[in-house]
Amino acid sequence: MSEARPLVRGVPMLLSGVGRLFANGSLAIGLTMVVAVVLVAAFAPLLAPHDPFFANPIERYLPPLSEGYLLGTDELGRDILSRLIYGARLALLVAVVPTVIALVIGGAIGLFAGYLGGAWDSVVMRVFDVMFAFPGILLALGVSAALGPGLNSMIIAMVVVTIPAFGRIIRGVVLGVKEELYVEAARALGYGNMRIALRHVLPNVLAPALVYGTLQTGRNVILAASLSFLGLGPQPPTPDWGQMLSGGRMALATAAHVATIPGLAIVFLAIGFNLLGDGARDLLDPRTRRDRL
Amino acid sequence: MFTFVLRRALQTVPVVLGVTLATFLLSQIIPGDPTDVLLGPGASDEARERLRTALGLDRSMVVQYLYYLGNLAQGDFGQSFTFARPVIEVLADRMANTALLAFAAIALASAAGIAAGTWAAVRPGSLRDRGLTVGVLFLNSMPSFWLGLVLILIFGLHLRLLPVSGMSSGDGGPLNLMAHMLLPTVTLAAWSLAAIARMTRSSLLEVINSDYVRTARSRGVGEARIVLFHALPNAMPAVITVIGMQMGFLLSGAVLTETVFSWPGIGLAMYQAISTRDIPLIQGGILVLALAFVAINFAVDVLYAYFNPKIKLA
Repeated sequence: MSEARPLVRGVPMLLSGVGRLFANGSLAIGLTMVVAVVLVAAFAPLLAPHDPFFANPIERYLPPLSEGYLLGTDELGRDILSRLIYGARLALLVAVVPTVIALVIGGAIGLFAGYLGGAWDSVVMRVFDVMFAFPGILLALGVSAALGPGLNSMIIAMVVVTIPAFGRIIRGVVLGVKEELYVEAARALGYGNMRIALRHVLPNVLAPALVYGTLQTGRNVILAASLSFLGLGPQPPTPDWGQMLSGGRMALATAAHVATIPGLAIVFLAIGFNLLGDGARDLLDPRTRRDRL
Repeated sequence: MFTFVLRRALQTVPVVLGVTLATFLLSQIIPGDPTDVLLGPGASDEARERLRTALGLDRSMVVQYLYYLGNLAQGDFGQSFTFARPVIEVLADRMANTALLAFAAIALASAAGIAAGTWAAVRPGSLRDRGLTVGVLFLNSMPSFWLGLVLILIFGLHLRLLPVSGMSSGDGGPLNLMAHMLLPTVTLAAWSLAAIARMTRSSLLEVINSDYVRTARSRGVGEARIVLFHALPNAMPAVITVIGMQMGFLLSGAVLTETVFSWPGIGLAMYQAISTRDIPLIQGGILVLALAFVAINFAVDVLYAYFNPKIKLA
């Protein structure tokens, strides 16, 4: 043994056998739902019966179950099912990409703030405090509006507002981990801060990071749809669920399906990620299994 | 108590300054040259320079931020070109409408959330408890604007029971206002209701197994009395914290809800400002709502300390 090995737990445990995965109901259901959306997104060109961009003004607002249009058509006569299928790509992208970027940036900030402590930690935490003072989607709305509407601004805005939450969570975990014996042992062996932080502390932070990342992905589905609904997301004619919903608002009385169907898709994906996150949390932290919903 | 309040008030000062710095930075990240927007691309270099000097854009960012702070202190939030009025007037007109909706929603979410959480917690693992779990999951996974549209569809367009837009119609009056408020309030409250119900359930489950509850039970106190007068008060602190946090979500959620129901509050004005890129109005709206949230958090902490003497010792 030339170096202190971190106690292996968390991620390997998560992967230790399909049996355990499916013993946990919400994890299995959530995973199935998310994988279903991923498959739809991956095989969109094969699955979509029509061109999602093809507008046919003669066949506007066809109701669901119309001939050739299973879910009907929208305000421009485009096939809703095809737009929904292609929209799955964007829905996954805007849920996952901002989470991953924010997790890497926020996680790195939290890791070093928590590990180094002192003045660095105080400064970072005060900045996070200020960002937490902005309720909900307001800061994202501001950043997105200032940068100008569009997919890139939306992703930047979502990253900015989720960094503090990840930073704070990872910092909290690091504060606990750095008191562990194996970290002390590594320090006694004379290893540098960087090496201890990356090779001994980081691996033990991955499991909670994964859980909160999944839960945040579920929240991001809603956040992205909200920004998109306000006109701050991908611009027309991109097939995007939030935007399809806001496009259908005007015809709610005569063609309710145009707005309600994309909403169902959003709810489906959000439930999938939320179940996946809840299940992963229960699996990794048995203490929460019974006393929380 | 006084020193606690004072210390807590002093803690908000850097946060308030930080919030103003963040809203100031929003105007700094707008891409492009601001003189292009104001003068048009064909303007001469001299005219641009003069405008930059006039607006203070030639100064350093620190000086510009201090100017911004000075203007805010004098109530100058800039000019909204969407409404062709000073931002502060637009916001002042609408603040009360947003507050009305937010307070109605928090009242509904708290009452219904605590009731639902208690109802589920007294029978853990039962059908109703599982029902609550599923309900919470759905409410948490549902975009509020979609819920709003579905409610409009059912109660407004199909059943024709309730108005779906604005604050009043016809002669107005309190009953008319309440009818207009009902759907937006339910829409806005839904998400918070789920969070409050979940917290009530889990903190009630913690205290319900404690010694004093068992003692009360052995003395023959009725189950309803135990839950309402012994367990629930001790489960409240955690619930109050969640309610305080939810106020922030309600203030920001107002943007979506007000948009769906055309409710004439700050959120609807901000939505209208998005399409015209009326950044001063968006900045002002964010600032006012964030400061309201800071003030509410302060009030919640003070109330919390008042009801929970242990805090003061810390």
